[in-house]
Amino acid sequence: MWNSFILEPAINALIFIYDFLGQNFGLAIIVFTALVRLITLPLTYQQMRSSMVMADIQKSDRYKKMQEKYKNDKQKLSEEQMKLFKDVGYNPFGGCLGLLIQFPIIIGLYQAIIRSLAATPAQLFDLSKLIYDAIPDNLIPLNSTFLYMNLGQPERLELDFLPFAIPVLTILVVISTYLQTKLTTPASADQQGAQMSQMMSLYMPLLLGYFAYTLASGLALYFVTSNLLGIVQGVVMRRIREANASPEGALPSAKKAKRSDQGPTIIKKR
Amino acid sequence: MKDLYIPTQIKFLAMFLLIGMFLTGCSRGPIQASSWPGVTLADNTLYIAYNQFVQAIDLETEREIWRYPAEADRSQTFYAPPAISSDGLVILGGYDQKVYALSTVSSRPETVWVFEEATDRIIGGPAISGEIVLVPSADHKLYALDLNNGQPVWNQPFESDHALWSAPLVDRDTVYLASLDHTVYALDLESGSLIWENDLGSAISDTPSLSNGLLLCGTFEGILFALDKETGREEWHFESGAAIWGNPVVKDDVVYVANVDRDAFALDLANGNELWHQTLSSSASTSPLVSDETVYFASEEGAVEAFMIDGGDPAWPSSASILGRLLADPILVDDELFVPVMENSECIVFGVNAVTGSARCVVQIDEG
Repeated sequence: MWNSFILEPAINALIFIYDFLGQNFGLAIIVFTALVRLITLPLTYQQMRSSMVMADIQKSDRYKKMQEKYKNDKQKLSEEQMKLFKDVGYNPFGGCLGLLIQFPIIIGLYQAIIRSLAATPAQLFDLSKLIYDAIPDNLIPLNSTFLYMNLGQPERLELDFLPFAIPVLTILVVISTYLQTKLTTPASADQQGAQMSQMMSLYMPLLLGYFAYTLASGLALYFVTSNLLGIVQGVVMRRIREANASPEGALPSAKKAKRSDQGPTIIKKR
Repeated sequence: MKDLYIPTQIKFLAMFLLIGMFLTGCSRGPIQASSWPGVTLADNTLYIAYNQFVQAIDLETEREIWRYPAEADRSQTFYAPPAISSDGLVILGGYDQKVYALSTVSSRPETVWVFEEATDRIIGGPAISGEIVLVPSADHKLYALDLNNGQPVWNQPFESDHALWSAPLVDRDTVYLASLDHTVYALDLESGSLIWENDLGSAISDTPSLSNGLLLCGTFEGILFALDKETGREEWHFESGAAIWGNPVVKDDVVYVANVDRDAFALDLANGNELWHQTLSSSASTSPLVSDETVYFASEEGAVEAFMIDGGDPAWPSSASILGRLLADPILVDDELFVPVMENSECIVFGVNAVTGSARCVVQIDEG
């Protein structure tokens, strides 16, 4: 089922784009990642909006007071929090659905890139079985050369005047992951949440950077593209949020939260 | 006893490191094989390149003579079928992009030379002709090396437009090379210069076969081409309907070939006309084997099937069944087929009785 509904369509779409773009796999990864980001944009938007509303709630006076008042009674605190969410019309699970739907798509995209690179005969044999009849047989194996890189190998830039090779994509992955995590994670007033966000923004770049350094550079290209698009999304969302921000200490209303769905209109107003 | 306090940051860091190591396979212990075993037979010894080791197995005693390296090294994996010189030098191509020449006079192989100029993995097996070792690499290049010291023989390696995944075929002073760039090349053995080339329209993954002046190549588009070995001109072609991975085999002017759509064919070498056709149990990526009266096909999902060369009737009451994937070419020795297997947790090579079809494990997996 996973192969039929997620992996095979993703691989075939990727190979179709590869053919359409003059058999350039690097460009195919970039365009395919952008397309998937575009398709999942409403879900990403919903998820980001949800976390921003949550951040606003955490900054409100009522939330802070309740944290202080019930700090020794977790059950009561939880009940009061749910009451507060209900009052402002915030669904704490609202962002989860988007994340849940996006997750298999992102995994499918990741697997499609790995499988399409097919660096060994066994992997190529397996790939050939996942390709639809409409895709010409003469397209595989894909040409994995992009700029100076072999997308099936870890990337290193060798320059004549330097005694060592530079892992350019790895550096880009680390920087772009850091920026994306910073931009898409709203500042949390909750101490534990803030600590968690801080650690995520530190360790995620290191983890993805390690992947980029050790695994095929096609994946690193995917990480960079995805991160750059995520940064653009994050900047746009930030602007929308700033335009709709509740005064410090005030609670966001459900109405306002809904109105912020029409973000692009608000930007026009400015 | 007081509980040990571990700061949250450290817990997080440890978790991320563990995830990273798990996903990139950077941990101790055996790694998962990424391709099928490369197997070569020479002087009643089976040389098996699979995952982190190359093993030499004495077929008489069915015991391991040696393995290389002695200890598993995560940076070294081997899948290319080794080449063995007339004086016993073993040439190995690694996924670490290196070519090793091993002296195996003693029970502990010793490295004679190492060639390190390739910039991608060695997937296809090396070939030896006289004092020259030909090494195809996934970096698109064919390297010609001096057998004695590993130094390049040609002024520069021959370069194609895509990876080279199959061993070259040497016929006297000509090297025939099939490439994933869709082209078959004929090169001069001494200089590496191009004699002719022919673009067959799609990738060729296995070594061509040579018989009666015809070079036979199967392509991913499912076409079997017969080319004139002197000029590269097409003499005939046969459309099998699905990708051909294994190279065709010729016996008594009949060509035997299989494709991934479970078809096994017997064709007339003179004109490519179909003599008979059988359906296999699953996809075939392997080359057939032919004995005096029987042709054998190993297919992916673990079946070895035997057909009479005369008429194509089944030679066994039922096919031999092996647990695992059969993607590598089997080898026939006397009355036994040695069948390399992938994704079997206990066995690397099965022996299948060529007369009865009964199967047994010959080489067990031993991680050392």
